[in-house]
Amino acid sequence: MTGAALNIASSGLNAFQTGLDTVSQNIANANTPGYIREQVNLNATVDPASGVGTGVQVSSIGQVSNQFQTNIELNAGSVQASAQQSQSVLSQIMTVFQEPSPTGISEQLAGFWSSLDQVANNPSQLAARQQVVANAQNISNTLNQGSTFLQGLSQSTQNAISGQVTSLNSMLATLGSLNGQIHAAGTQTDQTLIDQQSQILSQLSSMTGATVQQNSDGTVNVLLGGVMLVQGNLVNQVSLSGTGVPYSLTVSGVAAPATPTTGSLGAMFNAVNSQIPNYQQKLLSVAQSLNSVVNAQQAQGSYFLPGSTTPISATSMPFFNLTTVGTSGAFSIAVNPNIANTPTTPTATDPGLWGIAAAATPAPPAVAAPGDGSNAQAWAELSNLTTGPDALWSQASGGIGTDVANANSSLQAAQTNYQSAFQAVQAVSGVNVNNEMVSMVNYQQGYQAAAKVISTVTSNLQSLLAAV
Amino acid sequence: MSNAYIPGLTPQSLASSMAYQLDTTQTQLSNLTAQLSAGVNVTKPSDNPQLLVQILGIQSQITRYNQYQSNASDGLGLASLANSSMSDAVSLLQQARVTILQAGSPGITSQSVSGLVSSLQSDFNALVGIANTTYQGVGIFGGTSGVGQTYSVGAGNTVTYNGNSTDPTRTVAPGYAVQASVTDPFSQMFGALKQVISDLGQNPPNVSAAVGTDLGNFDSAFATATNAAGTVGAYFQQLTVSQQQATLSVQNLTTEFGNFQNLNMAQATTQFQQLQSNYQIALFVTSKSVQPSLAQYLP
Repeated sequence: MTGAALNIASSGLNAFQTGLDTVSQNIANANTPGYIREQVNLNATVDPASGVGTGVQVSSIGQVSNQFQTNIELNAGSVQASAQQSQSVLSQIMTVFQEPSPTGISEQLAGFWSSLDQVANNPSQLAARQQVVANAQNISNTLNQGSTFLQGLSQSTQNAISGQVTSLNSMLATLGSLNGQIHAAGTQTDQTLIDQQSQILSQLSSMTGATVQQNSDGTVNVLLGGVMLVQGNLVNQVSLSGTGVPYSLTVSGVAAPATPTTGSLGAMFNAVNSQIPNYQQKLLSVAQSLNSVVNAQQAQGSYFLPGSTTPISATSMPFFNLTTVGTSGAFSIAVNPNIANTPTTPTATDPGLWGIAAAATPAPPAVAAPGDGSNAQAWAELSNLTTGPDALWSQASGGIGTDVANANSSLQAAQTNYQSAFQAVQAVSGVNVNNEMVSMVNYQQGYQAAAKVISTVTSNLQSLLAAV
Repeated sequence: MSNAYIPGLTPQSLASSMAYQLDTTQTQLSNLTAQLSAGVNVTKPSDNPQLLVQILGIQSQITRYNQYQSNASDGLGLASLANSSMSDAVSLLQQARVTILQAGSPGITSQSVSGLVSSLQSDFNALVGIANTTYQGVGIFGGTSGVGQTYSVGAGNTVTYNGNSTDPTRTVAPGYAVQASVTDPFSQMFGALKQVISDLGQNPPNVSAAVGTDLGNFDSAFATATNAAGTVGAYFQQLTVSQQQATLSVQNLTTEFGNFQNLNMAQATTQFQQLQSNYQIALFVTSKSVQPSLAQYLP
């Protein structure tokens, strides 16, 4: 009987020691991202022959998780990452539309139209014409800078996509390898493998919104848009395809693209395929409108060389030159160099500032004369066009404002949802220090009690030996 | 032993939740700081997209109406000069008419007529000076020709008009332009004066023609000049009214712009203080909430 008591107490010591080890492991990893709380499962042992209890044993050390809540958290994480990325891209786009500002395109356009009135008031003054060209060049530069910025943003987003695709392939390879190790280890799987798997799945989901299927052997399948990326230790690598819009993600061996629609990568694809081209197009529309309405008005007028009273029709002397670059909507607008320059001897084809057609068309009944500013007056009144460049710019600025405001709201909602999902997962799988402390005290007291049993049994034995 | 976990009490969830709350407050503070430092409601399109579109519209209109005001002011400069020039011319011509009438006085001597001719020639020259008045280097009665010298005088008081017949205008409201001066008000007068001077300058002076047909022609030209003076005066009035209207429009638009864009400082400052207090409390609470656990109290 004495031997049995000692053995039973000894099993208790071992069990409580394992419990303390587990508490220690949990506390140590309380702040480790993706760590799943471990729990010691104990059960009482019984001698099957006699039916007498023989102590306690550690049946397993399990991880405490709830797959349902984990999946919700993964999904919320991907939505949050997508919202974050989208908000970031739109905020970048918004820097092109710096309004309201005393130096924004809106005010630059208003200044441009006003400067044409100055020319109309005194067509023979070079200073007024110089101001028109200077204002037009400012607008051109700002529009061109905006176009270049959007091109750069698209390029840097494409670079970021390439980087993420590389990381994604690396994660898929690691997951495949982990699946192989977990499957091979069976029930003896090292918990750190599961923790690693959990951490990578979280990153993967946040990046792509990929679907995760848990298998009974602890391995996972990963699907993107219905296409299998990881199954067991088999991994299908992904690659970026497309040399222009739309860019897509393809899985090796699968013809149809599996471009993610959520997660940070999904938001990046949306940015390069939709958001950036959309605003590039809006910027182009403003430039096109400016180019067409101004050139049309210029073509309706005539100009005079200094000292001459012979009107020259401006139909072949456009004020703006607009060139589009490729099919991306990128463009470059500039004042006609034959107007913007200052030739020593102005000519009909290279009139310099005199080429601004301030006077009306030479056709009767209008009178075209060097002091006539009627075409410049009509030009200045283009500011009141309800579909002109001012209106288009205003609409585009309001549009990006609405998009960013919506993105801010979506991000806030996604963050709140993620917080909620994260709290729910943490409630199950996270490490609550207080509870671990309580467990620790329990294990400590159990350990001390088991030790006391051993001490008592030993004391009893010694008393018995002394009596003999 | 039960391992029941209460939601939201792990260090990670607490830290995440606190960080999220702090971020939110900090973002609100940052936005409010941007508004306060600029003193405006909308500092970027996403602040209020609908309001932004209105603000941009009003902002452009203010610039446009300022330009209308400036156009009217420029037109007023021209009209004012034309007005005073016409007044001077009318006075001068009244004086010339008296001179012509003197030629018809009974018993007037050739010598006296010669003096009258000199006086008329002097008036003629003065009128050429008035008629060639310029505004910013351009003759004010030359229409839209842009010429510096509106009338050039050749031999024998022959005057050539160098301008055209289009009145110069200034845009003072959307799609509305007002004339600022008249064209060629003096050619007829120069012709009449030339004839008077010529007739009285003959030997003997042709007084009867001077006070007869010539005076009739002079009076007709005088009426033309007087009408032109009246027209210029009307233009001046129109431009004055237009300038006042443009100024009023700018004032109204500026008020409207202010209503949209000027920040309610009292409200924003109070809100800022409130947010700052919230933020400080949140920081304090976070510093207390994240760290302690049972571990600190165990022996």
